[in-house]
Amino acid sequence: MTDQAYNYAYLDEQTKRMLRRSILKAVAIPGFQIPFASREMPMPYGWGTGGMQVTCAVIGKQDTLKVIDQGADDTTNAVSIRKFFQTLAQAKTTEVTSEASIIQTRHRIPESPLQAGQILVYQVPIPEPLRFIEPRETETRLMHALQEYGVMHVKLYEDIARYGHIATAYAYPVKVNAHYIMDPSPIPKFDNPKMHQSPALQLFGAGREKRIYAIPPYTQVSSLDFEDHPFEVQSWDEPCAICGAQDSFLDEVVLDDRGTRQFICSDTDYCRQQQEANRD
Amino acid sequence: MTDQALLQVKQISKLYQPNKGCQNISFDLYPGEVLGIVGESGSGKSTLLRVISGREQPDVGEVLYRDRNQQVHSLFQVSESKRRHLLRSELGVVHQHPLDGLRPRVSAGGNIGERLMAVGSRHYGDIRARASQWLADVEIDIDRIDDTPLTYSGGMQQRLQIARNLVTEPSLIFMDEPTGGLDVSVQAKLLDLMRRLVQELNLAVIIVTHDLGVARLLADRLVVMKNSEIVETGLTDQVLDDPQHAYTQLLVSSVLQQ
Amino acid sequence: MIRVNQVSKQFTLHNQGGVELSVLQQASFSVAAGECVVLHGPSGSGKSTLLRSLYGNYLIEQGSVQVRHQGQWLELAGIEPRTMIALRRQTLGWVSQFLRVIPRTTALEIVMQPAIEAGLSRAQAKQRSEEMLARLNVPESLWHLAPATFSGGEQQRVNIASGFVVDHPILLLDEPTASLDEQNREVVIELIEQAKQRGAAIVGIFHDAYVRNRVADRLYHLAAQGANS
Repeated sequence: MTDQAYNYAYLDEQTKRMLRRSILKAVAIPGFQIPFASREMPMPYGWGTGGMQVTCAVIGKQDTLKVIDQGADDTTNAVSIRKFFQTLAQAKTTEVTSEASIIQTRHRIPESPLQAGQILVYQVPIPEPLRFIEPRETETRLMHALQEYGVMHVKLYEDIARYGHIATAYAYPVKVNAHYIMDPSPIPKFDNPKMHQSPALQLFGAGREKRIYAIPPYTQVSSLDFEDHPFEVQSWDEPCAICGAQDSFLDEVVLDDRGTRQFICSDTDYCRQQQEANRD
Repeated sequence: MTDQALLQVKQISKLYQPNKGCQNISFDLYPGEVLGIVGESGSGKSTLLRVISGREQPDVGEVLYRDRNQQVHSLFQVSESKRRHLLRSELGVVHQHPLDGLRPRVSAGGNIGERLMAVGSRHYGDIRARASQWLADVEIDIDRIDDTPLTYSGGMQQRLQIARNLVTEPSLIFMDEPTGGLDVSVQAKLLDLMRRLVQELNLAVIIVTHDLGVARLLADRLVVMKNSEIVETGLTDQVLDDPQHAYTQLLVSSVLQQ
Repeated sequence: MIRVNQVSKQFTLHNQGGVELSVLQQASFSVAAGECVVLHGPSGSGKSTLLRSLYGNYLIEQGSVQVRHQGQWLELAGIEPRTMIALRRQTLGWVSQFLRVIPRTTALEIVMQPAIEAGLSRAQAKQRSEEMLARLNVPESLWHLAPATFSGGEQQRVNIASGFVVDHPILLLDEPTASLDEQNREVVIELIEQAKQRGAAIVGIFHDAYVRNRVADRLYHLAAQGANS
């Protein structure tokens, strides 16, 4: 594949303009879903076509890109997307969170705090948080417009009634800038507090659903809860088996056929940093 | 007796085609009053109910509602936001088919609690306690609080729908054939419940029904509709025992004597 | 308490070729507080129609009926339904021999109903209702049952109890003693006499000459009406 065969960053310039207009609108109305004309990408829906289009629209030659999937830099999806941008945008790439200017992610927010100037691009499967209870898009749009969000608490109520606590563990709904209820994509609720007042720009792209939304830097993001059942993040009884971190989101890894298991950091970059720090 | 009307319906018309829908409808409803709208299928009863409950814009006319703070709102001039807020707090709608007014896959407790959460309740314990209280009030076993309406019988679903509407202590409930499609014995239980609730809560009700027995039992006052217009109004027993209009006479004489 | 002036009533049967039945011609009388006026006349003379007109059950199209309600005269011709409801709750009591059974509602609840509507607390209403049921010899075992399965006489007594449970300033009685046994007939006569003593104005229909003689201060005679089309 030669770089003349495609425009810089794959999409043509008019498409990127369209995307940037949607992104600007999304930034101007935090948490509000902006429709956009999603393009066919060279991979199936559900593999991150929305996040990829957003990255295509914002990436430039001076950017450094990091791609993670479930926190890991080395999974197939992350590696493929990183390669894609290396080839088509001549982008520098990195695995180090602090070195990246753009981080495209599926299902996690990096453990290392983000900084001003960084952009976090989320891949979103279903952007509409109200859909589970109200399937009509006409109605959900109206509910957003009128801030009729009582039903969101119904979901949490059902959790408590059934399990005794709020069992929703990922895609935990948030209220952005005290107005729109937003689906933060299927990140664990462990990551929800990181969205609040983040210095980084957070962009969300849903390719199949053709929606873009955003949280501008330093925006208030609160997780829904009840007075007597406040929002809580997950915690683990043991530290990461590799780096010993006690403050990161852990994945359970099954080691053999006899049920031996370990808990290790889901964020591979963070885990590596901790290991290096332990060595010093 | 309060001297100020809760709901004023002024010259409402909503026609889908000539004489289909409702036209030239005016009446006042006072707090605690139960108004029955009777007439045959297609006479415009349900259209009228949709309009006066703020769910369908009339071609002409005005519906004024006096809220708890004695403020009068014109239902089709206030913002959509305000109208919908009134509909889930001070007003309520009981649909003929209970599943039209319930969330089928949400538990009974969640169905009742939704209206509370919609008006700002954020305390799980309180919401659950009030949902339980209302289940008891509509004679549903408390053990069923976490079951979804899909697992309920038709009569229970209808009672659940009523509980869901009443939990925010509305001033006015609109009911569209609430006993239609239920067994006679289940109907009796529901009617009895509705009568009791209306009395205890000083609730105003506008009930659309084609069953004159239901109308006689529940309504203080009747509106008789035919071909989209009101042909007769009056005290329920007066309209049924001394009907003036030919159509009302026909309606009354068509009922099997019990 | 009641002034009836030139009241006539005819029914137009639209679905039977517009036949007009004249059932009452120019009735005029008045009733004072503490007085019992008995409507008297042969079958078909319009007694029942007149009584129903006084209760607002029949529309008054010709003539005037005025009733004293909370210190004011109210005209029943053209009255607003909700005013009529208030009038019935506070002022007009109605006792007939026929009980309209309400599904699943107990005898006690039926009797309490008018008392609660008139503004009594539940406790007061319950106490008065129990007294009234006891007085009318309705066995206590029946109080908490729905009257649908009661005998005709039992149903009638439940109905009378609900008619007398509130001390209405005006009572309209439509043959309350018909088909009652002697003992209970005496109770009803007593109730009527007591009502008169507390100043109630009473209009009644009594076929039973014995009761009529016991309670009536005056008779108002009605003549039989013929149909004219």
